[in-house]
Amino acid sequence: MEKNKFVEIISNSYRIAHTHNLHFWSFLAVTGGTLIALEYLSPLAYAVGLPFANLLHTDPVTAGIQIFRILHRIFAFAWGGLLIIYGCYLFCFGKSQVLKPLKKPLKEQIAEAKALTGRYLFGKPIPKEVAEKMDRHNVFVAYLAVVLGISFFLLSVSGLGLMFRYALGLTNDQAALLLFLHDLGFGLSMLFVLFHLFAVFHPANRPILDAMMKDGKVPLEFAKEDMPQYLKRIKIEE
Amino acid sequence: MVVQKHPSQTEGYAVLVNLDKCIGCRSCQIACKDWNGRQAVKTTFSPTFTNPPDLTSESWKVVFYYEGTTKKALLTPGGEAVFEQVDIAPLPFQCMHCVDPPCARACPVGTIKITPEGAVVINKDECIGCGYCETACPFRVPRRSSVDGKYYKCTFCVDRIQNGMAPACVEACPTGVFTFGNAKDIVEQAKALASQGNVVYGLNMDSYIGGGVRWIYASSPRKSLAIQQHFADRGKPVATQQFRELLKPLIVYGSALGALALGVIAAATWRKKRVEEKVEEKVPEKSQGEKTS
Repeated sequence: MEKNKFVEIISNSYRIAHTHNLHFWSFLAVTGGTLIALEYLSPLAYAVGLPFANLLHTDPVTAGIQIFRILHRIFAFAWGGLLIIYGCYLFCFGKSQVLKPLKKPLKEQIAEAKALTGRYLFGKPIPKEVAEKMDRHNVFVAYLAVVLGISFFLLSVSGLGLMFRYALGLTNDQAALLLFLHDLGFGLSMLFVLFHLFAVFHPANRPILDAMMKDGKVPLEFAKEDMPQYLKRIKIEE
Repeated sequence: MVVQKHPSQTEGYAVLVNLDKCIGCRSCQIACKDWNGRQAVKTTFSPTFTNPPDLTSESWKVVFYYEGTTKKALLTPGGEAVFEQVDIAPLPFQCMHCVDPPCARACPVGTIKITPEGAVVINKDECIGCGYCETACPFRVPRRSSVDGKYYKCTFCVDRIQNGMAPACVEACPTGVFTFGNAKDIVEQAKALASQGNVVYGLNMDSYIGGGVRWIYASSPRKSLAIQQHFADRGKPVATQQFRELLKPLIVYGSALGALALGVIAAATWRKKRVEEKVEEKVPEKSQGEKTS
């Protein structure tokens, strides 16, 4: 039966890395976001800092912020470690497919982007000539991955620079530039998260969300419509 | 970046620094250390008289010395002889107490307060040592203490002002370099000096610092080399901080609005899909009903 057939589109390692990326990004966004917009997030800093305020000889909000800053740095290192290890694995074993759509001619990329916009915004079906060229990741995913890559680069380089600002002997201007780049990196990652969440919760992508949160598999019927090029390369399970 | 209400340039207090009267005795520097209980620092030799060579977390006021040539005139029986002479001009420097201080805007925890007197003050207990104030300050004033990692700078002796006294440095000056008073009067005096052809620094400045500062420097053109050299690379807006100030609302409000817009689109698409699914469900039921009848 065609209906009982499933295709693995997300490996176990991908799901594990994705889950931890989700946790790390959320944690770093909250701890770092408090420094960007304390006027909105001060209750959180207060709640965290309250038990330690007496110990640190300061008010609860300041104590909370200090704790957030320390945790931000520790978790940033942990996330960096995860990304480096996973990135090396993807690179060494040739597992990364997310940038494949960028190899398509620009005309095809534009046609695919138009078709996907129609589907995401107006629920229009994807034209056959576009659908049959679609791979595991679509062109939007590829470009968003580029945005995410840039934001990771900005965040990690500027974050490390700011952390070791005095040890590296950076000037005020250099530190100010790094601070701006860190904010810019966060802004770009926020942009990625917004569009990523939109795509994730879109009804058209429900099977992919289920696959990411469950066993990494989507129904064969869905894969035939959404990623025919990918199907040509892999085994189908029953 | 906590929003604070603060007095305008003509409200609160200000100081007019007349550099023509300054003899570079450093009384102000010592008085500042004394009143604020800052540690003495051992003198080190450097190619300049300035000691310490720059502001530090322990030296909130430092007298800088600048070398240059000034024109001098000598009246002789044969007429006025004008000649150039190497001169040294001292400039007492501390926090300028900007009208709209970028350091206070940059401080993520609102540690830097602007008092009704116009003093820009770091609350030591709330400082988390992030250094955002240092990077935002166009005068490179706040300095990090290597002892506790917090930032320190001149407080405008706000504790003295609030008790009816002038700042310690103002009171200690033996030649009356500093004129302390209501900001409105000081600004008017500075404007009058400027109209007489003096070099005045601190009025009509960039909006990045609120258009002006509370420590206004004035000198005759002859001794203006100190102002020109000292403020050649100070007082200019920090571009990266300006971009940060633009980026913040984009990130905070842009993300919220973006999430809302995308949420509405997703909900509309979801609703459309549900309607289509219901229609599809009804069609087979109808055709099944026709068959049985």
